[in-house]
Amino acid sequence: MADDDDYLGPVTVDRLPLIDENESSGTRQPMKSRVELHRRTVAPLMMWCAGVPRQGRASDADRTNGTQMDSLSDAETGELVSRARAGDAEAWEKLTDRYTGLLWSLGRGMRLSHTDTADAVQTTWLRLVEHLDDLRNPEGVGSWLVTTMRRECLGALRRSARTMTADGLDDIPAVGDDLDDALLRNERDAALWRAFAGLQPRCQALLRVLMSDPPPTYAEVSAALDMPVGSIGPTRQRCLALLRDSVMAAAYPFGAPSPGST
Amino acid sequence: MDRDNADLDNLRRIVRDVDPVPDEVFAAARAAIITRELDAELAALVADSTAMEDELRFDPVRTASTETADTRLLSFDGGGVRVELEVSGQADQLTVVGQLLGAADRDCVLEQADGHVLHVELDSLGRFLITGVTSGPARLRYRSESGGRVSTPWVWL
Repeated sequence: MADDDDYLGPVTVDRLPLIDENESSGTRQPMKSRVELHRRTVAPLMMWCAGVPRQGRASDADRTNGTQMDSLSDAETGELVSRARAGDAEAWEKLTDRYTGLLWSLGRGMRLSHTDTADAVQTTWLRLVEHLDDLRNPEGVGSWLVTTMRRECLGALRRSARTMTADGLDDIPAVGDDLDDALLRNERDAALWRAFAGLQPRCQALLRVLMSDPPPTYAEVSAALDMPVGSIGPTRQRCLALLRDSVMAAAYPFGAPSPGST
Repeated sequence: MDRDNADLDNLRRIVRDVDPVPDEVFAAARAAIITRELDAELAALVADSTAMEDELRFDPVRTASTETADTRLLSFDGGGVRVELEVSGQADQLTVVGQLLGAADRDCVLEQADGHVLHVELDSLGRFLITGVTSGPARLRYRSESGGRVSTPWVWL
């Protein structure tokens, strides 16, 4: 596990948070090497999840200023994979920063809940770690990730369909349901977002993926949505036209306003 | 086309406010590298009774009998060890019954993506029973009889 220590960078084992042994539920079996395993697996995971500073990622300030992260070229992406294979923690961080937003968009676009999307994104990264050394085409890691994510999302959707109550499919929340459009101070933004939430699922999924930051390549979009590269442009155009129609229809539900109506 | 780009830019700006990627999701992505195992062989998932892919499904007789019992069957093979798992129960109280053929009777653990690691006690036939397992990504790590480390891929229990 010497390599893991490299990933932890300057943080020494002594500074890892202590784990309360009593926290585990009573159903868990005692374990001889518990302390050792905690030190190796649990403690680092918890430390990372508690939020180690992320230097590589664009700060929230950058984001709200409208600055987009730069897309990486295929060669740069392939290079990051090679460096991550060799144990370069910074390269791994750059990879996760580059693609986590896209994976999130795909899950949310496929109408998974927050929790299910978070789980599917995590599982996708765990799978990349699993296959880091046998990835056949490191430059296409983005397509590999979205293909894996798509499969995880379909699995999550099937699991929730199995556990669903008699109300059936109506229980699947629309993507807009839990999004508070009071957050959107600008009425035009709110109208645009409501119209987006009312679009057909296929359009929502495509536009969500296209909206992700940094923008995906068409090869990645194609892999994410299982659609031919050639149909992305026309579908994008059609979906955005539908979106504009919907914004107009919502603004004037009974046609142009007539004088005297209140 | 310019109008399309402008609309998409607006949506991108809006979605950043209403549905940003949670920081924990970025943190979990970064932490995933900790699970890397350089010296373990990755077993292959060879059958899954809930798989969408035809080649992973069990034969129809077995599938039909298990669906009614609401039990999921999983098989893994690799590194000289065959693993059979039966998963049943509700989301946070899963029971996992399994058998490892060709495994050493030490160093077998069930690792969950939330960081929990459960020691798995194998009997003389390589069988085990775990109760109270939380659903979520998990994998088994074990040793073959010759001592080589093997791991199953992450599966959603």
